[in-house]
Amino acid sequence: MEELPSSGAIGAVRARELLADVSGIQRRTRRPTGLWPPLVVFGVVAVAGAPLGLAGPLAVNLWWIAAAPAAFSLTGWFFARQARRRGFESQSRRLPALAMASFAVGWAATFWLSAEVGLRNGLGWVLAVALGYLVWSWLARSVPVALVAVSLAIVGTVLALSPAPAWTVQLGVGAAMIIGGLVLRHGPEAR
Amino acid sequence: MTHPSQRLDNAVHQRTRLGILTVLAGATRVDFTFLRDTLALTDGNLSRNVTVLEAAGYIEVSKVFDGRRPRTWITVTPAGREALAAEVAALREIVATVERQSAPVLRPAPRAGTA
Repeated sequence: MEELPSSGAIGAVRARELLADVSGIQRRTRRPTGLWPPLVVFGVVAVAGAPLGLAGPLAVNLWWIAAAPAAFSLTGWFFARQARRRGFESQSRRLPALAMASFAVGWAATFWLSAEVGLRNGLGWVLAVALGYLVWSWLARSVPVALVAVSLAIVGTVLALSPAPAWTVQLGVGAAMIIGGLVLRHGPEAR
Repeated sequence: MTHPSQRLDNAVHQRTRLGILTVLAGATRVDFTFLRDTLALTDGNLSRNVTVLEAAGYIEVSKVFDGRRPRTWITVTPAGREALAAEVAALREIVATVERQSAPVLRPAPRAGTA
């Protein structure tokens, strides 16, 4: 059992040490982990919906409207399962809020960029997802997550600017998301 | 006015127990094993400190079966959150008080030619 700190310099040194302990523990335990599920789930949705691009943008949009709620639910279930296995369950709203914000911004950006600037469908969405993952990588202090985000942005941009048919952009980006997610799942982020 | 160290709670003011409450405060519930590994403690050490915090009403312990695996989940109570916040505030005040006391007092420099 440790004693109460005495007043004066020794008390302050001890108090500083304890405060540093508290900050260190907070940093370690509240850092988001296991960021792979949204990449894999939304990557699968993107790949599965890519052939619909042959039928036109309306079919693709309808697919996303139908699939996105299911994908969010599945991602939420994955996170809950991870937290239970890890033994640290929290009600942090940061990750779901960021995920939904990225998705909404991406959706809006896709329409706005294609209508106003004539940018190809899907590029805005890819960049928003990549940006969302960059924010996550900062919150998680994770270099691998940042690398996945940058790779995703590069793959998406190259595909969107290439003369390839529009549906291949979604296919390529979806595949890149799945690969990125699996790399995180089995690589340094695996927990 | 009392010195902030007088406001420190014996049940909380100990490195391990402060660590336990800090981990728990950021979660809805935490597994015994996660706490043990995060704080680098032995089962016995963690168990003793958990008992002290539970007796003080700062945490609640529930033992459940996850499939066939027994698990011990630990939750911080509202009183535990308050105790942690009060402890951290008192520690900050101790540091601030001592820093104020040890700050150099600025005195005007003696003018040349004056005795």
